[in-house]
Amino acid sequence: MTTIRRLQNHLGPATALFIVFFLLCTGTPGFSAWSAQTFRSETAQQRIKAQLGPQIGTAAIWLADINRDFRLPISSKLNRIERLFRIRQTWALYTNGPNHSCRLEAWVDDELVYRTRDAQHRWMALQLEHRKLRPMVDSVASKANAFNWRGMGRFLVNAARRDFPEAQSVTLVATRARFGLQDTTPTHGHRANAETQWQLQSIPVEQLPDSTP
Amino acid sequence: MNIWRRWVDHCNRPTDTRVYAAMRIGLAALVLGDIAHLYALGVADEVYHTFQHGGLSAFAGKTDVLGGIHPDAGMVALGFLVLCMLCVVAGVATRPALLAGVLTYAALGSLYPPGDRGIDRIVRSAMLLLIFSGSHLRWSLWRHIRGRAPVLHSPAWPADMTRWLLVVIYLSAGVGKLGHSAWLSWSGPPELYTILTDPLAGRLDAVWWHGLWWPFWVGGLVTIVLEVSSPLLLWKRIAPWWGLGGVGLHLGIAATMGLGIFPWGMLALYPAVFAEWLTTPQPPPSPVSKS
Repeated sequence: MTTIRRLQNHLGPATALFIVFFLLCTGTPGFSAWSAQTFRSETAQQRIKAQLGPQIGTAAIWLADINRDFRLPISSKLNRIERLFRIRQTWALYTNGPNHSCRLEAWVDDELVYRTRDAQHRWMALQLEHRKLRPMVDSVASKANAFNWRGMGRFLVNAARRDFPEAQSVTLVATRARFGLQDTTPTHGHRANAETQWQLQSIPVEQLPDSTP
Repeated sequence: MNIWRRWVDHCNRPTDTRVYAAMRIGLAALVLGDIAHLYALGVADEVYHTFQHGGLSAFAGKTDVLGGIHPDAGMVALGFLVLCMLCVVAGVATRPALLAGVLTYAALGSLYPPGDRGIDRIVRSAMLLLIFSGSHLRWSLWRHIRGRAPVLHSPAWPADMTRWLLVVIYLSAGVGKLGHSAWLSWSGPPELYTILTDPLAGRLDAVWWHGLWWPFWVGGLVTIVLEVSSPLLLWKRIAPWWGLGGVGLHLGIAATMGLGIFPWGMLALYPAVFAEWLTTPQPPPSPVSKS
């Protein structure tokens, strides 16, 4: 066997070892929420010992030390690879559900044309439920100060003016309800019309249209 | 035999190249289908332009390079990504196409961070692993045109690493769920109920299912058990049996949630899980070191 062939036989396993190390450091299950400050202060250490008992508490503090002294520094170096390929290895896939049932509504003049997961009001539903747009609908529906109100709002206003040329106003309303109950209440919203040059402007909750069945 | 030698032999043991070829075609076809869907809905322009040029997202990622080049750089990159993925599906210049495709895919993710989801990171990670595999040695148009016979086996370590990636993903999700006491609580609406009936992601009717908790408690427990037991994927003989549960989990997600390509993207990695069953028992051509 030639030297090159011999080296090739070792190159793959060496790469595999690096990948094991890379995933272990950057994506250690259960450690994604642990920062350098976790269980660092005396107060935090006493609290965790009181909460979990002295043995498990001490083990948790020991793990936090390893996380702070070894995993995080190595992980920050490997972060360059993660950033280049956008392969950040922190996975928190549905660790908990939402507290409320939030929806986004779109009104053209006084007519409700879209409501999240509403079979009766499906204007632009296919687009808004696409996985690329759904996260924006999610943040806009759940947070009054969502960063992407402007982008999502402009997109919907433009689409409404295209599909409803006679429209005088477009109103976007975020609603909230408790799970399983139909106690839907509007939480925040924006309206655009000719007076505002079709720019969305925040409007008080009491002026929002109410679609409660 | 020393530890390193055992590791080398373990990594270089042969696996069927159909495993890698199936992953290669599945992942690339998934990306192509996702882009085609975006085009069919008429929103590709909004997604891949910056906010200043009529796009949706009011912010770009820290590593965004496309936004500053040209207003249409995102659309050009999208076209290039399509070209790369077509090459990957066909098995033409597979490895360079995978690398260029992953870099372009990442650049597009930076241009539109809200739409760059967990599954996109998973697909990119898996494609990077495929670069080291023998995915180009089977079901390749390029080899067919050049009259080269397909290679039946290649080293197993990229499939092992794909399973290791799955372990990290599933175990993180499982440990995360155990950290939320609501998953194991018998009082109040189960966590799985709020996830599957969330109008923004789930498909089930919150009112209809309200009070009928037991399917969600059982489903939640099964999910946690499956995710926490995912290290079993590291045992090649047990992995396919665990994989049957994993397939059930992702088909369940596909039926009850509107997460787009997520369940299908995960299933595209499953040839690595079923590698033991897919590998034919014939002797390997010889990438195994036996010096």
